[in-house]
This record gives sequence, C-alpha cells and structure tokens, in this order.
Amino acid sequence: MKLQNKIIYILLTAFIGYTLLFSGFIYYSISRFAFTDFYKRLEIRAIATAKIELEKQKDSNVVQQLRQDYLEPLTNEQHIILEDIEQENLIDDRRLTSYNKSFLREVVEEGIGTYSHQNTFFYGTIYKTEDQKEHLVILSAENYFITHHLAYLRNLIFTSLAIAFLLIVIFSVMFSRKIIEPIQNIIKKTKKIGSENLHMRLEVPENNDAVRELAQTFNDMLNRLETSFETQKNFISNASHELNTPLTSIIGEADVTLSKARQPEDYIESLQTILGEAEKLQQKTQALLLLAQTGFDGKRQKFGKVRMDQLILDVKETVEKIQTKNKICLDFSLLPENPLLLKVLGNEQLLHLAVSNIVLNACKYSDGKPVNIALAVMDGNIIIIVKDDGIGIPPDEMEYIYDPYFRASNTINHEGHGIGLPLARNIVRIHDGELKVSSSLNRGTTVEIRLPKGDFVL
Amino acid sequence: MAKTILIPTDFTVDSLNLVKLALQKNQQSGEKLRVILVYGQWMSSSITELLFYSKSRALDQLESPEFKSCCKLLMEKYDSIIEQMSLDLFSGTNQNAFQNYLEGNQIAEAYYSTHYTFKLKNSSSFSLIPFLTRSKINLVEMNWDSANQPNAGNQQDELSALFFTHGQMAH
Repeated sequence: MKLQNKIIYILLTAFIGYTLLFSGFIYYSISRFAFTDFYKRLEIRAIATAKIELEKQKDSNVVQQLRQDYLEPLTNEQHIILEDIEQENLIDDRRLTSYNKSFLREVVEEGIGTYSHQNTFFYGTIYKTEDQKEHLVILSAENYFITHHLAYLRNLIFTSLAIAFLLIVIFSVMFSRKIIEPIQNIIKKTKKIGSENLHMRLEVPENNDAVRELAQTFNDMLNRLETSFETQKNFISNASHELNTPLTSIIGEADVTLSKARQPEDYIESLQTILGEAEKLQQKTQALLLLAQTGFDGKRQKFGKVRMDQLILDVKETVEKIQTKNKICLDFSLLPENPLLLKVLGNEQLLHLAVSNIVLNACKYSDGKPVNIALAVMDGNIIIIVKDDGIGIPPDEMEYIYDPYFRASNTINHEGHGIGLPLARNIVRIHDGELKVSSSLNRGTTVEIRLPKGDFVL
Repeated sequence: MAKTILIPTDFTVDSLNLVKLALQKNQQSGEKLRVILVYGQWMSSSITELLFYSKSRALDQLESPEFKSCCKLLMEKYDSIIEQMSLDLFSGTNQNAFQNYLEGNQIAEAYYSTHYTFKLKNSSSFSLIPFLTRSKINLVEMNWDSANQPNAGNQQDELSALFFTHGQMAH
C-alpha cells in the first residue's frame, strides 16, 4: 500500500471512530435523560391527580389551581384511578385489560411501575390516602420530546457526521499530501542527478526536521561523490597535459633525427635530448605515483590537525613556483594571540589543493597585479580572504561559477579547465566550511573561505 | 584604571580600520583600553517615538552582521589590551554637549582620519568630526592606504575591507 493511502486510512479510522463514539454517547445519554425525566413528570402529575380526585378537602383546590397554572398539558394525557383496591385480584381486573400485565405486577409489588409502548408512556403507583385505603393511579401520555426532539437530534447528528466525514477526508488527503510532498520532491530531484550533473543539490527545506535531515544527508553524500569525481577529473587532465609535453618533444626529436642519415655525433646529441626528456617523464610519473599514494583515494583520506597559517605559507610557496610573475602579499596582522584558534580538523592535501586552486586563479586572472591573502579568526571560524584586482566575474554569470567546466565569458585569453573553483568549494564543504565569492567586473574578485575551528586543546 | 579612547564610526567595516590602527598603536604600551565607538544621531522629536526609544535597538538596526563579526575579530585579536569595547550614540546638538559627553566618559584620546569620509546612514545622522576637531581633547590623526579601490559604487560591506591596509600616523 502507498504511504499516502496508509496515512489517509489511519487518519480516517481514528477520526471517524472518535466522532462516532462521541455522537453515539451524546445520543444515548440525551435519550436516557429524556426517559427518566418524562417518568418524573408523569409521577408529579399522577400524584397531583390523585390528590385532586381522592382527597375531598379544601387544599385539593389549591393543588388543582397549581396544576392548571404551572403544569403544561401533555399530549394525549389520560389517567385512570381505581379506588380502594385489593392487591390480590387487581391484575385480573376488567378495567385494566388494556395495560401490560408485567407493568401491573410491578406496580403491585414495588408500589411504582413504568413502561412505554409506541411513544406512549405509562406510570402507575399505589396511592395511600389518610384513611389507610389504597388506590391505584395510572397516568399515560405521549412523550413529545422523544417523538420530536430526539428525532431532530438524530438527524442533526447524522448530518454533522456526514459533514465531519467530508471534512476528515479532505483534511487527511491534504495532510498526507503535505507530509509526502517534500519526500516526493527529493525523490524527483534525486532521480535527475547522474554522473553528468553531480553539481546539482537538493533543496533543503527550512522547517521540516526529518525531511531536512534527509535532504542534507543526500547533499553531503553528493558533495563527497562530486569531490572525488572531480579530483579524479582534475588529476587526469593535469596529468595528461604534464605527460604530453615531454612525450611530444621525444617524438619530435626522434622524428627529426630519423628524417635522414646523420653523423654519429648528431645521434649522440639527439639521444641525449631524448634521454633528458625521458628522465623528466619518469620524474613526473613518479610524482604522480606519490600523489596517488598520499592522495585522496577515499581509504586514506584522513583528517588531522592542520595549522592554517602554515598551510597558507605552503600555498604561497607552491603558487610562487608556478606563477612567477605575481606578487603575493600576506596579511597576518589580525591573527589571534592564541595559536590553537588557527587549527582546523581537516585533510591537509585537500585543503592545500583548495586554497592553492583559489590563489592560482587569483594570480591567473589578475595579469601580474599583486594578490592579497589574509587570515583571521572570528567567532570560532577561521577566515581566509583571497583578493585580487583582476578581471572579475560578470555579474550575470555569478550563479554558474560553481558548475564544473563553466568558464566566464571574459576568460578566453586565459587557459583553464573550469574545475578549480567547484573542486575548492567541495573541499571546503567537506570540512563543514563555507566559500563565498564576491566580484565586480574588471575590478577584482574576493574569495572568502570560512572553516570551523577544530576542537583541540593544548 | 584603563584608558578610555573614543573612535567615531559609521558601522562599516572600512571604518573599523581606524580602530585597528588605534589598537595597533596602543599595543606596545600594554596599557588596558576601553574603546568607545561613537556614532552621531539626533533623537527623534516625536514624543511617541521617544516613548518607545531604546538605544540598544537603535544600535542594533545600524549594525550589519559583517560589522559585528569584524568587531569580534578585533576583540579576539587585541584581547590582552581591550578591557571593554562598546558602541554608543551621541545625540547632543552643540559643542558643550559633546564636551560634557567626553568628560562624562572620561575620554583620554580620540582618533580620526582625514582621508576617510564617514558615510551617514540616514537623515538624522551627523558627522562627529567637526565636534572632535573643535574639542580640547587629545586628538590623534590616523590614515591608512587601502589596497581596495576607492569603492564608490561598491555598496556592500565586505570583510576584506579590514585587511590589506597599511596605516600610518599623520605628522
């Protein structure tokens, strides 16, 4: 059964069961009350009638007066009074054939008896006058309340039950939809995400706790997946480029040498060139092997203490080797006095990769202008600010900068793969951090990385 | 007894450079400091507004999250010399009121910059610089070179405004 239907059925059973029970209870108690109340009214009338008829005294006038003034007449009210009865043969009395036998027996045995027959209610009692004579008084009347009001109440309850049923159905359908909707959204969105659009993320709803957690867990998983995907892509594109250069020169050298017969010295010279290139190639493959071993193949991705100021100095060194024309300025003027605040729980290689990617980008797009890096700590967050005065990012392209392989329209003169920034963002996300880019065209770009401080003690 | 210094502010990160330089200058002496950041804003003349006036709420409306976090940053950095750092509104109208304010808060020094123009947040705000220059207080002029472009069109308040600056004292 679908979850939505299940929720509807459960809600329907619970609510309808409750309303049925509730209205049944009301109906039952009202009708019970109506019966007892009516018998009480009959009792008052029976005694009043007996007083008027049997006691020929002056105060019977008062009773009659009271009865006329204050007791409303009942529909089909009838009474019968048998004076001075003998209890033994009362039941077989001719005049009482129209009454129920067990009712008469009850009256004789207990002094009071009641019964009802087709909306007519009977009340019988033995009335004793002062001269110790016993008289039988039977009063009967139709209960207007039960015939009319109770029927009205019954109709009312049935109508309200029908309305309640409708409301409950509508409510439970809407409720189940509301519950199911975010989950279905997640399912729909997750189905769309494949290896070709791993950068897509689920929307994290703001209030719904369980669903929010689900979406966040999915997003975290996607972050990890995407990072490892892109690390590999990045690695492959870099590696192939790096390996290609020496290979090309080896092939070219060999080609030129073989084009015609040459002197032995020429062969020696060209072989030496080839050897040199091959050695370079070997160094590079060894470096790659080392990178693969120490790198991020999932199993060995370990988190440890990373000191951010040290990391930034390392990054500066690395970047200066690659980009020689840029000047990198560090601003450590606002570092806190406590060095513990600078330590992040993270993977040094990954963080190094992320920060160096951003700094390299800053150098690449700023055409030799100085690049500023600042480090600061606020509120338990470590903040790295990388600022350049480069070409900037066009404002209408800001939303695509995290898409892999996306390159802004003004980057045509610069080489690149469009992988660095998304990769850096994912690495920062893995460390529970935040990456913010703000830029104005032709003015420069500022990248802000926030990383939470690790909980280390001295 | 800590020394109290007054620094005018306009609730932008850029203006906090003045605080940074002032703190840097005072760091060597090792003396404890009480820093008061003051903004000039007249009170409303409407009686109902005055009835529900709360200084902390007024300050809260003026502060941006970036400004707040930069204040925290400065407090963390200069934790050893800052005894207290507070924000205040000055709402007096004449020089005597300002002089009283300085004396009431026992202010020893005030800092200002001639290069930086304070940005007023609303029409009831006013610059404190004329009051400062006319007062008899020990006034220190600080200026800084910003690595940022003169951000005329740049309206957003960036954390980076506090960095990459090189301050000097005016002579």
